[in-house]
Amino acid sequence: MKESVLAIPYDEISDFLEQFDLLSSLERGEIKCLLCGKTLNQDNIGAIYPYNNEIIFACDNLFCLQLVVTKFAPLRNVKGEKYDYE
Amino acid sequence: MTMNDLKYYFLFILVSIFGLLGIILITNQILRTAIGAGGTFISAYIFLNIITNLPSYQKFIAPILSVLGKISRDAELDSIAYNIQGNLNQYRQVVNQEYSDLVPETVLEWVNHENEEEFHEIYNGKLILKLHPSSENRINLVKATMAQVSKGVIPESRIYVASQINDSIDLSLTNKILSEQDRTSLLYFRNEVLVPKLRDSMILNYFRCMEILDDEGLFTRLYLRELKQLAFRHGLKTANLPEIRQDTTDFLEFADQIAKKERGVDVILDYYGSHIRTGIVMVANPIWFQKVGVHPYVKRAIDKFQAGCEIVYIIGWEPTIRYTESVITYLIMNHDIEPIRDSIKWYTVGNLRRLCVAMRKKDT
Repeated sequence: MKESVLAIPYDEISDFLEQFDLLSSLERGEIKCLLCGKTLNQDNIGAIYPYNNEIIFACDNLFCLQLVVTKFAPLRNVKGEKYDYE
Repeated sequence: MTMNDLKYYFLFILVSIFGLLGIILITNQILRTAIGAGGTFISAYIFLNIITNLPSYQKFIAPILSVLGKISRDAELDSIAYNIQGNLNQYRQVVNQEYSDLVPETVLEWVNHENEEEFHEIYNGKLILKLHPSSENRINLVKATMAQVSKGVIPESRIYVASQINDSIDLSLTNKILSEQDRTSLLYFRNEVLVPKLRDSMILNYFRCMEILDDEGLFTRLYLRELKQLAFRHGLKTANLPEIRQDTTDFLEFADQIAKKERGVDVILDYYGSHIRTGIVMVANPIWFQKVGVHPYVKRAIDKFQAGCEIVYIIGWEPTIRYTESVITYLIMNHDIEPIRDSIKWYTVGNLRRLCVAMRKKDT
């Protein structure tokens, strides 16, 4: 049984943002962490979550990352059900 | 035709034969060399393929590649990937001895984002981590471990577990993996994630339960096994979720009581929930066993099955291991009861060897 950990290297973030037309939004401070609301820059992006043709970001704080990992882990809650921290 | 001509013809035939033999021998030599070289190349390829997939090799080579990473980007990316794969897969080999296929094999996959449409199609609903340079491999390892434990360990059963218990399972296993593998990553995880999360009193309580269970060797062999089996038995239905979640919560408290049981103190050894029905037979007292023999223990196991237990765990430890084995053998030989595949587990707690076997009726 194999399970992939999906990752993007630190030096490709700039290209990635530019390709998805998000670099200027990031530079204007419009992209924020989904969990803590912190304004993101290229250094403090921790995770990316593509969903329904949009891209959701989380910051590099491990506590936020733990929440985001739990939130987006598959099959933990049924549709509409919320976790305690939501 | 003169004698002289015949001599030339004879020499011609002789030279032709030797020439032909020479060509055959050279061709043969070339063929052998080619086969030899090809074989060596294939063997080297297979050998390199095997060794580069070994977790210990990946852990060993990651720091070397990190140094080379200053001149080669491929080496830098390989260092990051090998550090994660090596550490996680080495731990996987250990934990899967406790319960087969509990932790999946980790493969680090760099996402391809060249085509926007394809990117959304392939990675929709999947979490992508941004990883740091190899000089910060300890942070990368923590991030990858959290992601992998969260989505890879009993994923089919998580919906039947209360959110705080799910969090506690993630925290316990991540803590356990990093404790075994990398101390600097462990400290980083504890400071940044574990300590803040344990401020929630419920998570703290469940985390403690799991630590005690793990110390007694029952976290993976009993608790996580039952959670995994629950999903198969229940067929991934989502009806009655609150009831099932209450069941898995109560079962954790039951397992906690078993793990905390002191010698000579009686605790309830059966759990009859709405979805989990499990019993435990402990073969603990050698003097008592010598006095009463195998039958009372066998009867206890049979009674538990008759009362509705789907699985009965037979647990014993030194110096009663051979008595425990005799109870298991008696059940197999004289009743329609069998050990579940891969459930015969030997382990050590303190200095004492233990045995835990999950038994079920043959027709289930």
